[in-house]
Amino acid sequence: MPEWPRHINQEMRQHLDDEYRALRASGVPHDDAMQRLAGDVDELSSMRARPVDAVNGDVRFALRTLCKNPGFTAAVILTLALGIGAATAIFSVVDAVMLRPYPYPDIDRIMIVSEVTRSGQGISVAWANFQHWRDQNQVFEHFGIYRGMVVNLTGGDQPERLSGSLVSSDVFKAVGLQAQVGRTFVPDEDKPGAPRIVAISDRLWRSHFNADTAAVGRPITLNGEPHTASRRWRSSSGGRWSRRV
Amino acid sequence: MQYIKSRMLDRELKKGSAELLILSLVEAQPRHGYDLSKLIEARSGGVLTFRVASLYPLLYRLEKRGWIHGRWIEKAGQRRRRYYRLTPTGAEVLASQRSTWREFVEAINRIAGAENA
Repeated sequence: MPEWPRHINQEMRQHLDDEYRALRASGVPHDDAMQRLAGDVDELSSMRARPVDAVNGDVRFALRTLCKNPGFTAAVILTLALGIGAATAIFSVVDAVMLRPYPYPDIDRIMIVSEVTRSGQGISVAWANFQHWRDQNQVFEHFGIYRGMVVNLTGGDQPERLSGSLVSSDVFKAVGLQAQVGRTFVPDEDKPGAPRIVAISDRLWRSHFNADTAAVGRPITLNGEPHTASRRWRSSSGGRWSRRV
Repeated sequence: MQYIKSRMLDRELKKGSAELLILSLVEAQPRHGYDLSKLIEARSGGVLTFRVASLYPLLYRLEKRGWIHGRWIEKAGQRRRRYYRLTPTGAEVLASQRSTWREFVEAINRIAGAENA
């Protein structure tokens, strides 16, 4: 009888025991005494077999209690709301950062190579080292390099601070991203003194350039220096050392 | 059919009077569940009996409402038992229920009794 407190169960057992003893004391044989108690025992068993009733009763009792204590109810609801909100926010971040795969084709074939110190601390890879690795590469289909950076976009109504990456021409091929409009970077544009070309995301193209297809090829100013918008891709890619096996 | 109707009436009457019976019996002195059950059966001449599965949940409900208060007591030579006594709130409820019940019975008697007379 899970819906009753322990002392009620104890009293019921004691009652049946008292009744049995009384019957026996009055000369009733064991079997007959058990027979007379069978009705009570059956009823108690059926009480045990009604978990749904018990749950309904609990729910009704909980609702009545909550209605009687509006202050407590408000505190409970607020606590639950904050708890659920916090859990949802944390899960959203974990889902986006850890659980959901990157939106690249053949993600299992993309690998990140990094350089670390003896103590295991990550460090930037020198351009010369990258060139060495790329020239000696025999296992990867494409081999690119990039570094995350923040740039200031000016020349419009309002200056805008953007997250971007400095990337080599092979990065787009390594992650399998195609330009929606315009062209991708070419190897000659990796060389020092090459024209400054920028690839803009679909989101920036819509928010800053009003989805104007003529924006491709038009000069824009990043960190005070002129660049040429060369292409637009479907979704903004994250930036990492990337290469495709 | 007649038998079923009679049983239904009996059950409803018992249900309606159960609280009054318990409160009345613990008014004079604290009593335990088994004692209450035996007293009801004896004083009603066997007409009224309570099943274990009905009596103790009823005691629990009455205690929860604050009408009776239960306490485990161990008396010399006896097993430990939970005795129930009437609380001041229970005494008020009992007085009110007694009055209502008396009025009800009198009203029924005035109607049903007059027809039979």
